[in-house]
Amino acid sequence: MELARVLGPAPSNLKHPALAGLKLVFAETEERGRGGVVVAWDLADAGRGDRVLIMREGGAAMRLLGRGAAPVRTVLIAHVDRVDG
Amino acid sequence: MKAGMVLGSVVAARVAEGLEGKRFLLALPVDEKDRPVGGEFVACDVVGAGRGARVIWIGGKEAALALGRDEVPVDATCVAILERHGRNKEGA
Repeated sequence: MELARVLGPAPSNLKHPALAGLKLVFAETEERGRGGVVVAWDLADAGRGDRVLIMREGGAAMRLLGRGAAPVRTVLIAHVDRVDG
Repeated sequence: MKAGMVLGSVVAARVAEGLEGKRFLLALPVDEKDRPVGGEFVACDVVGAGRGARVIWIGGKEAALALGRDEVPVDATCVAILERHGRNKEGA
């Protein structure tokens, strides 16, 4: 998983049926080098500016979604309160 | 499976379903001599690793299997703590 910051909502009206009803957000990953902006399925009710955890594993995302094979990989799985150490 | 160095812990109270109560670690992928081979990442933890520990972690879909169920949304899990043979021999 990666630490990231939520940039805001990623609204979409025209989308693949498997993505219907999913809350999608833009998030910027913190890691230098592999950083970048991703679109993630938000499962932790995150808001703009929140620090979050992003997971990128299509199999887990699909099983969780429960709609069979689906074009989904990136999932926002946690709202981070703090990082120690 | 790969080696990693634990940098700290990530505290997250609001998590996706299935991740309640799970521990998260901030870690750095390393080689056999503890040299960093990539950037920081966050892994779920099932062995109680703390800061400074050398660990074995697994990525991809198998990361969820380490948590005992495969529908958990994780892509990296720490599954073992490596012993520090070299340092023990030196008495450090």
